[in-house]
Amino acid sequence: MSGYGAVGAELRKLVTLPSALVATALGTVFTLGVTAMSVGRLRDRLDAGAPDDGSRLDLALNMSAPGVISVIVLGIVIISSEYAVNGKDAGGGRQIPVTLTAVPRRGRLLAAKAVALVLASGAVAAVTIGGAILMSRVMLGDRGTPMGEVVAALGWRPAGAVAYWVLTALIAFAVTVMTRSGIVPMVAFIANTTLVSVTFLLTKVTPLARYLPDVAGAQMFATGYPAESMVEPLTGAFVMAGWAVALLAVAVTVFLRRDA
Amino acid sequence: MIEITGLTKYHGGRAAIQDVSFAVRPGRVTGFLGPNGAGKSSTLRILLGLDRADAGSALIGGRPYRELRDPLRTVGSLLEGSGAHRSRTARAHLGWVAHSNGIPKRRVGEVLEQVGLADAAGRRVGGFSLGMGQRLGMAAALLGEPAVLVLDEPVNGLDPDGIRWIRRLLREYAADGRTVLLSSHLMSEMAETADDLVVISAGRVIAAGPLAEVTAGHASLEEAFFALTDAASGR
Amino acid sequence: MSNHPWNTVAAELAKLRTLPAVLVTIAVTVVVAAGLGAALAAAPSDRPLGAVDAALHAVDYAQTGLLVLGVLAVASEYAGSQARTTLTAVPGRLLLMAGKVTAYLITGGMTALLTVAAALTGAMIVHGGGLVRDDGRLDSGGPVGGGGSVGDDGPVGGGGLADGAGLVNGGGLADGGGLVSGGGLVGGEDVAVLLRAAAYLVLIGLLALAVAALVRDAVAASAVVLALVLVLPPVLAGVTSLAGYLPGAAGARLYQAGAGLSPFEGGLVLGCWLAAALAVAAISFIRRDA
Repeated sequence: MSGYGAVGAELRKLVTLPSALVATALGTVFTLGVTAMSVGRLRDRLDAGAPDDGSRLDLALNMSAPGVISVIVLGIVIISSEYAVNGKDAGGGRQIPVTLTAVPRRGRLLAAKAVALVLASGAVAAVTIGGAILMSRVMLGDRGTPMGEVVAALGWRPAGAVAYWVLTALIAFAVTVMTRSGIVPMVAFIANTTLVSVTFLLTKVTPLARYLPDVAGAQMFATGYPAESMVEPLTGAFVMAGWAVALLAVAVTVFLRRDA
Repeated sequence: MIEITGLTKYHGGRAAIQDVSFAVRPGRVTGFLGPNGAGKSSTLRILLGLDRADAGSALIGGRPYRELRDPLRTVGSLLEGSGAHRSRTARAHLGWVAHSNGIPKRRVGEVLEQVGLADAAGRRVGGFSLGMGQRLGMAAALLGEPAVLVLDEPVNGLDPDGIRWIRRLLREYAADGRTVLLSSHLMSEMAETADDLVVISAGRVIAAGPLAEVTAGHASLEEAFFALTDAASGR
Repeated sequence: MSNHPWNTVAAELAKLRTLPAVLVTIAVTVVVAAGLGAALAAAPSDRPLGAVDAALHAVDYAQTGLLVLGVLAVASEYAGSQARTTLTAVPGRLLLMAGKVTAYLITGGMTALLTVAAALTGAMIVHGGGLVRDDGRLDSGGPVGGGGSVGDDGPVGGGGLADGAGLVNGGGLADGGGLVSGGGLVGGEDVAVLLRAAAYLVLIGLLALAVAALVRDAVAASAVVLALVLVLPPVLAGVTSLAGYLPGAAGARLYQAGAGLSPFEGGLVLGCWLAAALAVAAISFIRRDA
């Protein structure tokens, strides 16, 4: 099978997987909905004469952050669905033997999945983040900053946020290749994006925590990150990408050696 | 011992089984035959209280399965697969099943021995072959020394030794005056084991009675089966 | 009754005991809680957390373990064909559900107590075996990893779960009727709030159990309960005060002070969520084909 065909097959599997569709749809709709409500409240406050604290520029970008969960789910189910058991248990019932007999070159299979994931998560990220920014601009109307200035003020940060989503999805994918079951990465990654983030707690304990993938990667888009002496955005991008590459390399090694 | 009367079940508007009635008598092995999708599994699942019927009743000793006291002491059953969680050991699986019906712990070791899994008792079910999973399912069915056995494709995946063992077990069970309801697609196996037959096609019973009666006028059970099911489906 | 109730509970307990995922979840939860207690007590801050406050704050994190435990208690039935064995062994659905809940409450109760004790021990070790109790709060308020600035930016400010964890009021060191524990003294009031934290852990896991009984899939159920308990409250806190009535946010009032509900009211709101979730789960469990 050509590389193009393998990527196409993986994309097709992803868009026919109900859990992937539900997670993406819910994540996007919910994120945009909450952003709209927040922007609405900001608009009311500005109308009531509250001083502009600068949040009208950042609000949409910040509010879209929890949407990263939908691409985490994508990264997990693109591989865990291969191992899910359905029906008869002993000796079969999983999709992975079919997948591996269709694409026996395992390195190529993982590469195809990774490319499909980058395309899918990148699209979801661009739509959600871009949609949130555009929507806040429209909702704020003449109270808001003109679009040109918004773009100038946000600069590369929306792109940084999209990169953060895609890299997060890839890291979740790599970890799930190793665990096969989706439950451990699902719990760990979702919990860690909330207020009870263990990686964030670690930034309070050790300066080394700034090199953790999500902590470093968040510098690509966050302003006023509530921890001190974080890395520069570009460094953060390299650190997070480095984690993704390293984890994918480990995942490929494990996947090549393991029996299906 | 088993009485099924007017059983009907719809799956999304389509009737999986319609007005299915038959009886399974003690002291006999009753074969339950039908093509894929004919309604065998639906009937057995309702009989075992897993699914609800839209009409009709399925009784064991005069009571629906869900009302039996410690049901595994009355009815042993095997449907597709081992029925065990893949990360539990065979012994642990049978252990909780025994607990749930107040079955003495010693029975776990006894049935593991009986089905030939004594050496694999400490292994996780996820590493079992199809045949081993099937043997574990049989072990769970035999755990409560039940008077009724309901088995769906019990020889599926078994080696020749295992098939012979099942055949002898079922004959002995019936000879003891107990009740056996057995579904299988293997006609030669069924012809050797069953005393009575129930043939179902497209959700309806199309023949029922002693083996000799159902196969009368045909060279073999297989030919009788095709003649009956083809006629029922209008081929 | 088709089976003896105690046999049903014993079987469900045997299932939990022999499932490696359950044992691993309990072990990881307790060990991580100890580490979190230590990390929270050690985190440098203008006003460092006392051992009890650090332990209570660690509960915010450790609840993930109980959520997983509650999910596994039911969803493991559906990872293959085991559900069929379970339902033929115990055909009375309501009895089975009650057995599962009871077995979970026993297992989850022990896990919750161990978790809180481990978090407290971890925090006390950092404080050199003594007990530093003050009203300090960790200067987190924050967001986190992926979260960008959800927690404290603009209109969303302050509503987060992490906030105010240190504000559980109560007297100073070892007040009245102290209990000797790990070389330090923990006051009676501290014991009460720590026990309420353990109760919260058990109850939030029970909510996960109910969700898993509805969803019947471990991964999907985990995603739903994590969203409901951890993700939604801080995000929605920015747009509506009703976010305080979500099960996790309300239940957390049992052990940490915050705007809105009192501990009693918070517990009551969580209780209502549980009653509703368990009722819906039981009805669907009884009606649905296996």
